Amino acid sequence: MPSKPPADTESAPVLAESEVICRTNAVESGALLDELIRLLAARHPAVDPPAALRAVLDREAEAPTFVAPGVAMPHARLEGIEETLVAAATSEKGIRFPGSQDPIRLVVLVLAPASAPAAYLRVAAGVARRLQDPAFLDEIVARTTPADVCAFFRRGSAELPAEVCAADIMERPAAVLRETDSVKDAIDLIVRTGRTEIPVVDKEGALVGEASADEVLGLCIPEYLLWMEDLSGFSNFEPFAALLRKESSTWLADITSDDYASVSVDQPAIAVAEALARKDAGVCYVLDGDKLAGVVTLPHFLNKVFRD
Amino acid sequence: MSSPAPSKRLVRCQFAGMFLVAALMGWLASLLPAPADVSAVYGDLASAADPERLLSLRQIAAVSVFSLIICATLMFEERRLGVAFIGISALLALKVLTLSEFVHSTELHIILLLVGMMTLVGALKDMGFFTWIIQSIINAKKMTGLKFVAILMLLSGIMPGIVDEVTSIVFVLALVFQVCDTLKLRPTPFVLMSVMATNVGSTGTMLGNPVGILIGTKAEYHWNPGSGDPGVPLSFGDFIVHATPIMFLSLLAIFFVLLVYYRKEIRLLDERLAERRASHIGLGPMVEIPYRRGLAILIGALAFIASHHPLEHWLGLEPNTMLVAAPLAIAGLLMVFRSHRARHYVESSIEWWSLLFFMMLFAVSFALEHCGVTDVIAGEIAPEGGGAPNRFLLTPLIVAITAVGSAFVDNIVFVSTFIPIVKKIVAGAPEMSPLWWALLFGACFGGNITAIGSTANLVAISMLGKRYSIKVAFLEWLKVGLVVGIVSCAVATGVILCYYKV
Repeated sequence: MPSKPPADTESAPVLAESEVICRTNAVESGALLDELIRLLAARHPAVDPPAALRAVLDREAEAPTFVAPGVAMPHARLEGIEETLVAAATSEKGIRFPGSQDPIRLVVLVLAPASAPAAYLRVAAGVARRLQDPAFLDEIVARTTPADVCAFFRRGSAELPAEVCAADIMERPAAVLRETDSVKDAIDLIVRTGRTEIPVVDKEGALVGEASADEVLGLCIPEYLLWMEDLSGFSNFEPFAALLRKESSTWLADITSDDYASVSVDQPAIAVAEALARKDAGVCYVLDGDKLAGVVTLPHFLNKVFRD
Repeated sequence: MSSPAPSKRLVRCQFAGMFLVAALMGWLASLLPAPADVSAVYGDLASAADPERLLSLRQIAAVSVFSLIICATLMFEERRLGVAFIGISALLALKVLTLSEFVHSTELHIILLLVGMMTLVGALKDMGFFTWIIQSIINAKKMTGLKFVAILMLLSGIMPGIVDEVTSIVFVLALVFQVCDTLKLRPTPFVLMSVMATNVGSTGTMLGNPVGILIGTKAEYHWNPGSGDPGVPLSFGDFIVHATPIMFLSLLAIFFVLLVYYRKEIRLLDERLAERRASHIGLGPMVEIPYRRGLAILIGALAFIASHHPLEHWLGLEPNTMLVAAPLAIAGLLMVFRSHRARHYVESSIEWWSLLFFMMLFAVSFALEHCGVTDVIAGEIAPEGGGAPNRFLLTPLIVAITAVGSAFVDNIVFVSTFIPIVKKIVAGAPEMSPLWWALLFGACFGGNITAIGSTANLVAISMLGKRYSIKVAFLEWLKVGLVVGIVSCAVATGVILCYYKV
């Protein structure tokens, strides 16, 4: 029997009044999540509460999912469910979540089908966009009945994005170089952060290129040196010596390439995958105009699609 | 990044076009008259029921296969060897060629000469000789834009004469890429300068281009036309004495053309180099390269090859025997003394793809000659009984035909077809021997006109595409290539006409 298509293209998940807890008295995340999952399981028999709770807690243990101060979006992908399920809880006093300094006042639990990469990402993107309004959190916590919260969420669900954009999956760059920096600064940053590609920006924050460990290596061992049968004759690292002597005065431009993967913030997230694949790159830069807005590394992208 | 694969529909259309052209050419060939002496060409076959019809069929087959290979070269670079294999099988099956004729016509001696040279080049690369040259140029003191371009073009002009044009362009482009990457310059103008100088430089010696080897070994040159002496093949020394000066004059001419054409890019290069000099930063690492062994081997090898003519005379050998034996001996010695790399040289340094294609092509050219097709074309160019051929007409005509032809089809295809034609003209009028030089310069200089004109061009374009994802537009190349092609062909034609006064 043919299986149903993945739920990527489903409409926005509906939040039922029976799956909303207003002004919960819970103080610990575990108890609250258990309660929310049981609410979902009551209406959706495909949800196995112990297994779902374990999946959500395992996912939380890998990386907490705080989308804004005071807002948590615990989630998991489950086999057996065919639509995205959402439950929510608000708290006046705040709930303790491992890894969060701030008490959490809004919890949005998302259970997504295992084979639908975009389902959770769309919900997360929708909530994150609503959170750009600073009054959002206070407004929703102020609601006293599940019907009020649902009405508020329905308004939000109507705005759920049709697709996940690059901006929704990007992260802040771990390191950035200025175009006036030297090769020494780049090597320092590569060694310190463990990142092999680092964006280079001008004084206005516009991306001008990418400095990489590969380029540093290419500067020391250019292609024509590799023509030789073997380089074991240079046992004292002679090809590196010249750069070591002049790394402070060597321009960053020498290891900066303009052949990098980039997309604009409003492009669909799939464009990130396309750019990474086409450029055979490990990182894709997300641009707002010509300014660097964020980065998506390949591991981060894979995490978003396969695990998040 | 590789270019996207053509759609299946496009490939199907190209195949249909290719077979249509082949069929059309075959039909045209069927209109060709049979040679006067059929039995001399076909022996027993001539006594068949309808010898003229038999001959026509063979002409049709030979011309069709030749057209197929030309179309495959133009449209399917990756499939051309496959098409050539199929074509040869058809010629064998249709009795256009016998097995022994096929083996004889593949010009194994030329292939082995190239094998020997490619092995030598592989060993020199291994030993750091090319690395040393590039490093020496990159780290030269007081480098300016003009100086760099002059060195680049001189190097591109000289190297093919020593290590063949394909090896040379790969090596010279590594220098161009290093400089352009470091100075953040658009590489295309400098790649075009290098490749155009390479095509011109490949005429400087017999080893510069397979075309040179083919002409040198197949030519029947009459040094004393009036004496009745038989024509002889050209030697390495003949090329040095006659072709090298013309090559240098043409190189000088295109140097000035390119200086003017790319003046903005050269000015920018000059500015960037000046900034580097002011900051005391080089263009690449400076390390101690053990180059002396490689240099000694190269000098020894060139001296050995250059002395092939006196050695043959001394040993009582056929002309050009040592021209083949010398590179093979050198390659053999290198493989014996560097046995740990011998397999690498044979498997990776030798361009088996190109060599196999050359073998098939030589066989098809032989088939054209064998069927009398080239006789007919020679008759059209210099009709028998039409008086002494006019060298002021024929020299520019041969240069122009081969230049235009080579601009669109691999020059070796054109030259292998034209050799029997020039041979026939020269046999009838020995004073027309300088036409061999016209054939050489037309075929090699014409390669500069378009991006598909020579193997060096295709290699350069492929390297640009792989490294920078840059595609050189057909018109971008044609604009400068046409000027360079016309200027260099005019210089060569002028010198041939002025110098070889009969």
